[in-house]
Amino acid sequence: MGFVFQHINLLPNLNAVDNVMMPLVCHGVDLADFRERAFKLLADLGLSDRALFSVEQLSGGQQQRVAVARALITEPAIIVADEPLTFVDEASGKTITDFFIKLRDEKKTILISTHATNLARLADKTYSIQEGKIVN
Amino acid sequence: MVLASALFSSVLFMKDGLARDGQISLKYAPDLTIQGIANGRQTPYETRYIPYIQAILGVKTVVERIWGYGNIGNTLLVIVGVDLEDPSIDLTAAYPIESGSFLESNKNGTVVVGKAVAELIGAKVGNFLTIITESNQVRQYAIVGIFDSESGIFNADTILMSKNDARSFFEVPEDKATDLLVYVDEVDPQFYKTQVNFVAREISELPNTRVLTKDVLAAAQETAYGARSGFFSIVWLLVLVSVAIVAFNQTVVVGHESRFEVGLLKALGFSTSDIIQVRLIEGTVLGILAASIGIVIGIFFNAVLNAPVLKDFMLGWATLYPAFPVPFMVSTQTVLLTYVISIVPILFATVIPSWVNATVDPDIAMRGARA
Repeated sequence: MGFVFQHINLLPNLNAVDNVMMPLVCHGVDLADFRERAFKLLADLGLSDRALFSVEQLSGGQQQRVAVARALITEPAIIVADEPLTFVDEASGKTITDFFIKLRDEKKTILISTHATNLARLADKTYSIQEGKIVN
Repeated sequence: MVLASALFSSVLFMKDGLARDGQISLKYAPDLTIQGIANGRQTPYETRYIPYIQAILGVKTVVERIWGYGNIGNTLLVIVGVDLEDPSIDLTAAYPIESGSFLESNKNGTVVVGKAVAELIGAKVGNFLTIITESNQVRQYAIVGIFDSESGIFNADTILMSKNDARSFFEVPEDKATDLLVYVDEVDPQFYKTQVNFVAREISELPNTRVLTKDVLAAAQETAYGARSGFFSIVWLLVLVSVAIVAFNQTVVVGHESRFEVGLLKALGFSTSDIIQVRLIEGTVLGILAASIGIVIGIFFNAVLNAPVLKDFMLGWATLYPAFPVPFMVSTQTVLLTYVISIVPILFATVIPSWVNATVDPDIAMRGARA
């Protein structure tokens, strides 16, 4: 499973590409083998020129795109995104939304919680929750 | 931690160096040193006891020694009168000549000085050394040789002259000596201590007599330097505990960043053991780095700066010594100990808090840290 957090939650003392590769550390793989994939994911999300920037040097939208790349580095079967567009500007929000559509077309399963109805409309299935209960 | 390591290694390097110097001085020491004692203080020893001591079973030779302190340029130096007729030890081995020659038995008015003493007074072979006696008489001696001993302290404070010259300088009567040197017969090493202790017991029966064996001298050195280095070890320990407490405090009490980081790592798939492993590696690397820098600083402090303040404290009243390179030794034991005492507190301060944070639910850890 890959997670995209509402509050982004990157490690501040690492740069973008190292943050993307962080989930691989506990899998005991050779990180060098995945470095190219990390750069490719960042490039797909429009961050090829920001890959070596520190977290502080990235805007909120750019940080969230790095977080999306991080969620995908382990090629998870399911991606869970909690309010991924909350702290994101419009341009970054569009990039992330387009990226999720691309992943859906690649038959990836994406679980998104959101208050953004335009994002919810893009889903194959939508569940509404009111007061902790599924109503629709 | 770097400061703690530097302090710790400096003190122990110097203690090891002083211990080595002490061992070297004991190498050429007699088996027993006999001193006169009156009212708890050392007094000149009566030479009439020499035949009695010589007759004790196991005694090979008894030699009179005349020595004392001379003030040269506001520095106290040790003046030792050596018996050139009956040396009993190879003096040139104890005081290997670097330039010039050793004392000759038929020549009075000559001295051999240590290398550091020569440097202190700017003397060379052929120069004259002027010393004033306690009765304010001026004595002049020709420097015939300069020795370079294995012992830095010998080099720094010793002037050798003939026994007759020393007796005249210190005005010691013919029936007395500063102390007596006793050498025992050669025996199997396993019986050496028994032999020495037997002779010591016999001699101690004499009135107003104090007997010092090599073991007693070694123990006295260890006590002096061990006690002083122990004092600094307490200071170091306080510094170390402070560092560990501050680091622990930073990680646990104020450690929002630390808690968030651990929570995030768990959310990304790290297990508790993974996190502890990461912190172990991190702490070990930091500890090794701190210790390495501390050791380098310690060596620099001793070798280049000559250990100001620390040297005076460790050598005690011997601050009257002329300036000389502080004896220090970089021993493997001290280096390893420095690494251990650097790594362990850091691990304590990082691994335990990480373990505590790792047992908390990641979401709570991250939200709580952000709050």
